[in-house]
Formats: sequence, C-alpha cells, structure tokens
Amino acid sequence: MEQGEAAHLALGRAIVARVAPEELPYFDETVASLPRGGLRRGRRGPQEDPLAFGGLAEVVVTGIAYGVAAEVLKMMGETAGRGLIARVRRLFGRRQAVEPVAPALSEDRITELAAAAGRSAVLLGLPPDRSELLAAAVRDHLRTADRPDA
Amino acid sequence: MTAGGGGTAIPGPAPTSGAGPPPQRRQPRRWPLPSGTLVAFALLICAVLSSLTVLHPGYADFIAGGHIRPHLINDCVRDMLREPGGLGALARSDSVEGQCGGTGDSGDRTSQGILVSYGVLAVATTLHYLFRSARRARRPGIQPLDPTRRPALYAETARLASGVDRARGVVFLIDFLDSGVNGVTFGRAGRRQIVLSRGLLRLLDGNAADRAAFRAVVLHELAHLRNRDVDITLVTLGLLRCYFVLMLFPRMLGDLVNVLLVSEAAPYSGLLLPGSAATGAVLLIARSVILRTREYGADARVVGWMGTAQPLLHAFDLASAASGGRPGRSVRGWWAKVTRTHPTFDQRRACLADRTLMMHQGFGFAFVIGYCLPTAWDPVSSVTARIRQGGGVSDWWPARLITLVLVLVLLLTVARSSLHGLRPRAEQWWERQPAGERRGRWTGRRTGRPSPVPFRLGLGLGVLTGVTLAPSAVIDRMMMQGLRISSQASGWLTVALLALLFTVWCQYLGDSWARAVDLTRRPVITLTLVGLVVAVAVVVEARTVFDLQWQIEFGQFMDARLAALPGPLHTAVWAQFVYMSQLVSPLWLPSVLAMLLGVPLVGAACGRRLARGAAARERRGPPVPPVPPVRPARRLLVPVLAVAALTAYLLPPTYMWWAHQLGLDSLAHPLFVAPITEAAIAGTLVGGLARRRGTVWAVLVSTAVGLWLCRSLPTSLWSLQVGIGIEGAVLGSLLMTAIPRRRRPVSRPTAPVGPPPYPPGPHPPSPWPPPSGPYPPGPNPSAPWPPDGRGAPPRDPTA
Repeated sequence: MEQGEAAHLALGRAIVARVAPEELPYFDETVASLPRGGLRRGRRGPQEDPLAFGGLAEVVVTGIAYGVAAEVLKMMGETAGRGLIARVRRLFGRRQAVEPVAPALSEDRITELAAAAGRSAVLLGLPPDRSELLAAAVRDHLRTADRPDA
Repeated sequence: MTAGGGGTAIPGPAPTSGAGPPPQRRQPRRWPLPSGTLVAFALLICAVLSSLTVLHPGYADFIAGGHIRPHLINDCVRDMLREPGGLGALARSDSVEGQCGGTGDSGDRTSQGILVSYGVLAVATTLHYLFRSARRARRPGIQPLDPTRRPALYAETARLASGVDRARGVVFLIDFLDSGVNGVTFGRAGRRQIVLSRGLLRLLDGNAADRAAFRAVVLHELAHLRNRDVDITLVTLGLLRCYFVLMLFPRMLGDLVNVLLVSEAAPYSGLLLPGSAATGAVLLIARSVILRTREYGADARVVGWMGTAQPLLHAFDLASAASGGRPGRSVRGWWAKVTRTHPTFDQRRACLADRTLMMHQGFGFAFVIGYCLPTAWDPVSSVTARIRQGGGVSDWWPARLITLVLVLVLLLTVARSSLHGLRPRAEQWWERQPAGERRGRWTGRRTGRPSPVPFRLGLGLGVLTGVTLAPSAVIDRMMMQGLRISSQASGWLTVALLALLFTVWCQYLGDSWARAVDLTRRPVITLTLVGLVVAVAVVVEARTVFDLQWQIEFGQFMDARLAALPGPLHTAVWAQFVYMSQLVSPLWLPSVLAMLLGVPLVGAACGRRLARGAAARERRGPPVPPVPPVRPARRLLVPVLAVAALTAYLLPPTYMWWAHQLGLDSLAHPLFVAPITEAAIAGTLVGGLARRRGTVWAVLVSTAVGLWLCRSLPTSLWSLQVGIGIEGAVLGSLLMTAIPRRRRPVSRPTAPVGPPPYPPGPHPPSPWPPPSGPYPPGPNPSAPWPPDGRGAPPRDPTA
C-alpha cells in the first residue's frame, strides 16, 4: 500500500472512530464499496424507495470521512507546493514517482485544514454538529501525526 | 374470520404465544380472498388499458400503417355540423353513425394502433421485469453476504428463509452505504435477492430486543416473497415506467408539438393535455395504493409468524429514530400523501393494532375506480365515437369487460371492508371474557368501521373527473359549440351521482353478505357468484348510464321546451324520461328490484341461517342467548310526518310538470298520480320510522302499496306506476337522512354464556392484538424458527 493511501485510510479511520464509532467494524468493507470518485453526497439515493422497508436512507459517515480525508491530504500536498510536481512525476514515471513528504504543519495550518474539513463534510451532507466533531477529529489526528514521536 | 383476512389469510396452524395448547379442531381448507395488493394491481391494469384507448402515441398508429391525421376526422365532424340544421339536425338524424372515418381506404388505423401500443407496452414491461429487476444489486456499496466473514449473519438469514414458502434460494446482500435500518427485496422469479442495510446488521449484535427487531425486518422482506409482492411490485413499477416513457410522454409531447406548431390541431391537442396529465396522476395514485397495501400485508404476515408485534414495532422505532425524526417527504402535502409509496410508521403501527387501514380503502383507490369507468366507456359512448363507427374502436373495444373487472374490484374491496367490519365487536366481546370462559361463537352484527364517506366521495369525484376529462368527450365539446355548459355539467353530475348511489348500494350488499361469507366454508366461491351476478347486471345496464351524458346534451335539440329549461332541470327531465322508458318494459322493474333488494336480502338470510347453524353445532347445554345488536334510535315522528307531507305536496305537481314538459300530458291524470303519491307517502313514512335501512324499508313498502293500489289498472301500467312510487319513496327517505335521530344510550351486548366448545382446560389468549395500547411482549422473539412450519397470520379466535 502506498504511503499516501495509508495516510488516507488512517485519517479516515480516525474520523470514523470519533464521529461514528459504530461504523468502524465495517470500515474496510465500506471503503472497498465506495465508488471510484467517492461519494458526492452523504445520503444516497431517493429518500423514499418503493421497494425498501420504509426507513429513510441515512448518512454514511465512512464515505464522508473518506472523502474529507482525501481532501485534507490533497490540501496538505498543495501546502507543500508539490502537488502539481508530484502529479507530473507520476504522469511521466509512475514507478519512479516519489511520494510527497508533507512538512511539519503549523498550528494555524492544522486549524485551517480542520475548518476546511468541517466545511467539506457539511457540503457532503453531514449535520453541522457532527461536522464540528469531524473537524476536531481531523485536528487531533494531524497534531498526533505531526509529532515526530507519533 | 379467515376470509376477512384477505390476502393474509392462509391455511395453516396458528402461532402459539399463550399459556396453553390451542384446541385442535380440523378446519376445512378455505381459500383466501384476493389480497388488497392484488385487487389494486387489477385496478392498475384496468387504468392502463382504459387510458391507452385514446391516449396512445402517434407512432403506434404510424407503425400500424395509419397515415390519417387525427384532426381530419374532427374536421369531418365539423363539416357535418356546418350543414343546414347544425348540431340539432345531426342529433335528430338517423344516419349519424359511421359518417366520418369509416372503413375502407380512409387511412384510419386507430384500432391497429391501439393494439400496437399494447404490444409495445407488454414487450417493454416483460423486458424490464426480466433484465432490470436485479438492477439494484449493481448499485455501489452492495456486496454479497460472505458466509466466511459473517457466519453468524449467514446462518441466521438462512434459518429465517428456510421457514418461508417461496423464499428458498434467496440471496442475501449487504448495502454498506446505507446505515439506516432497512431492507429491500427484489429480483425476478428464480433470482430473488434481499439487501440488508449495514445499519440493520448492527442489530444482530445488540440486545435481545434488537435481535428480534432484526428478525422482524428480515421476515418482513421474506413476507414480500411469501405474498408474491415482489413480482407484483416489479411489474407495477416496470409497467408504469414503460407506460410513462413509451406511451404517455410521447403522446403529451405530440400534443404539445401540435399546440405549438400545427394550427389546425392545436385546439384539440391543447384540450387533451390536461386529460393526459390526469391519467398520469391517476396511475401514480393506483401505484401508491398497490405499494402501500403491500406493506400492510407484509407487516401482518410478520406478526402472524412471530406471534407478537413487539419486534416489528421496535424495528419501526429504530427505523424512524435512525432518520432523526425528520418528517419524510411523504407526509408533506396532499399530493405526496396520496402518491407516497410507503405508509408512515405511525400508520403501520396503527394497522398492526387494528387492520382497518389494510382492509379499508380510502379516497384514492375509489377515485381510480371512478376515473376508469367513464374512461373505459369514452371510446364507445361519446358522440365522436358514434360518428366514427367503423373507423373508430367502438366495434371491438371491450368496455364491458373492463367494466366487469372494475365492478369486481369494487365489490371485492367493499367485501373486504365489510368482513373486517365484523371484526371489532367480536374482538371486543372476546377480550371482555375471562380467560377461562372464552367459548362460543360470536354471531352478532357488525359494528365500528371507518367512515365510508371518503370512499364514496372518491368514487363519485373520480367518475366526475373521468367524464369531464374523457378525451372524446373533450373533443365533442370542442366541436359542438351549440351545447350548453350547464346541461353538460348537470349530465356529468348525474352520472357521478348514479355511481355514488351504486357505491352506497355495494356497501349495503357487502354488509348483507359479510356474515354469510364469513361463516360459509367456501367464501371465495360465494363471493364470486354474488360478484358475477352483480357485475353482469351492471355491465348490461352500464351503457344506459354512460350514454346518459350525451343524450342529455343532445336532448335540447329534441324539444324546444327542453331547450328553454335551465341546465339542471333539463337534465332532471331527461333522466326521468330515460327512467320511464326503462319502466315501460314490464320485466325491468322486477329485475332491478330483485337485484337491488333480493340479492342483499338473500345474503342477510343466508348469514342468519349459517349463524344459527353454527351456534347450534357448538351448543352443549343451556341455549346461548344471541348478542343483542346495537340498534339506533328512531327518528322523531313529527319531522318524519313533515317530510311525508312534503312528499305528498310536491310529488303530484312535479310529476305533472314533468309530463307536460315531455308532451305526455295523459300521464298527468289523477287516476295515475294518486296511487303514485300514496305509495310514495307510505314508503317515506315507514322508511323514516325504521331504525335501520330506511331506504330498503321505503322501497319494500312503496312496492307493496303500489301493487295494491294499481291492481285495478291494466297490468302493463303496473311497472310504470310502482316504479315512480318507489322513486318518490326513495327520494323521501334520502331526504329523511338529514333528520337527526334521538340520542339514546347504547346498551352493552351481554356475553353469551354456554358450555365451551373446546375441551376444558386453559384456552389460548386471543392472537389478535387489542384495539389499542401497547402490545404485550410475547415469548416468541427468541423462539426457534420456523415455529410451526409455514406459519400463519392470526386467526379469528371464534372461528
């Protein structure tokens, strides 16, 4: 597994553990079930399915967390100024491409990334209160991951 | 009352959740009545067939080889109307039929086009069912249930499915992108699949109540397979999708193009657009009725299997709590209410306590029936259809067959409602008995049922809407400018009123036969025979009713006096004339009386006899006193006398005025008028003073009095005289319904006392849930499955 993918999964798992711990046992299978482009919205399908039992479709936090994690990592790559360069490298020599190494993040930058993650979660359909929880999870994870001894 | 359970009643042992073993009495196999879902499905098919007649798309005509433009026929009709004499001359002409678009090389291939539409729709629906039924399994996030990763879940689902008929071989899937409490059943025959949401899987790891709720949801999905709901649902959805995409939308698009681009056809096409939209709305309502009744049936099946409703109620709580308590889209607005696909959880809870919602159809269902009736008759009874005889579809269009099916649907719906109407009092009586004394057989009358007004209103309004928006009638009104709007509207109202009265009579018929059907060994055969007799009679007379509207419209050209009358009076005179024309036939009135009174009275007599026989068979000691029926109070004598006096005062002059308007002054002789009036007064008095069924008593008494008074008249006049006397009495008794009854305390029925028909010992508690209040938690959620083989829904404890 690539380093970026591992970081992606780790951040997503950390978010789910904080926001929706009941989804954690199904995290791997849910991630494997996600469409290639990720979820465009947290709640899937029509609200009233003629064939269903009758319960409304619920927000899938795992899908949102996975998408938000991807967004955060992308922003981190852009912060390092290597996002475009890394893509070009991957384009011309996938095997020789070097995974971008994110520099140490400042506290302000972590706060900014967490706020952006919360906004993305709201856009994907997560309720505001849970989005704040998600932002806190992102902040804590980035702080933990940023420490050399972590 | 096994028959009353409708589609949920299946043979088999009842579940045991009580303290003692149930009495082992061998019951004869009783075929259940068609379920509400199946009846609604038949209604949907009728709606589609009816609407396809005139609303099929133009490409179907093109495929059939037609090259005529529809407005050419309309132009032909307009040319006929422009001839000297105009519409009046056309109406009085004997050779009006077949003048436009006749057979030969006219290029009119409407009939073939309709058949092509049917073919296209049938093929498309079949393909949709075969190849699109499993489409849901390919949605993102859905994966097969892996027995190696989730052995406990796999074993549990396999165990549940093994006890359900028609569920063997079903494949379970998991939807990892749905964290609600949900389940979906789909797939064509031989490839059934059930998707369980990820939120549902969590319940299996929870406490005992959660695990029971998990089983309830899975059994609910399996119940859809058991009830054959999956096929009906998928065919319904496929049929409607194909109909909308291949038939209705192209038709509406063609009409829209005509409105915008083809000036000659624009007026006709513009008027057809609302009719197409109304047809689409009616089909959506029919679809929703199917889907909703299906849910009620599956819930009832689960309760029957588990022996308690508690797990299902817990699942409802979890599913509604998981949605955050948000009001679903389905509860917003009237339109969403009549077209939603699922009942609300509150309704489902209420239906588990009392199956009223499952057994009684409401406004929407009746509206669809009413809308379909004039739509089915539109191609053969409109003026355009008569002029296009030969080129149109009136030669072969099976309006009578569709009417037959619709009447059977109506009767089955009413019968299910009446059978359920028997239930509450039996349940209440049963619940009131001490546990050790529940014995005997309840033989009382029905009490307690939801108001029949929405159903009646729905059917009447449906007929009114159908008559108003019927495509051929719309074209007629567009071309025949001389027709008065007031006459037309009164004609529509007359047809709707007749349909409303027929609905009321059907409910009376259902109530009269309910006990007989409930107690007989062959309820389906009994009900089928009665239904066929009624349906055939209706089919024979349907043309008279649906021709009434255009006859009223054209009546103004028959006589200058009619033309001078206001629309409603003109309609009343003409309708009375049609009624009198029928009365001229000496056999018509006896036949109608035999149908309207004889059939219900036979049912009531059969029910009484069967009840006596059932009570006698179960009697082991002292006689069982009958349960006294709840009898309403009489009306006050003074208002009844006032209405009778009003009848005596108004009937003779009204009758004479009517005879004068039609030039039948000889009928206004006192020798004719006096017996009519006396019979009407007698019927009105007796009907007004009767505690129940005032109209029935009014008809019976006025018939007897009329026959007695007319004995000196020639026999050929008896029918005419008695018929008008009956009419006066019926109108008087209908007027009497406005008089309130005296208030009177309702006496509680005393419980029958007698030796038990069952062996002495502990008796099972009623498996029917109490009418209100929470369900007692039963011991069955943790019971092994299947409990007793195939399982069965709750049975009537008194049966």
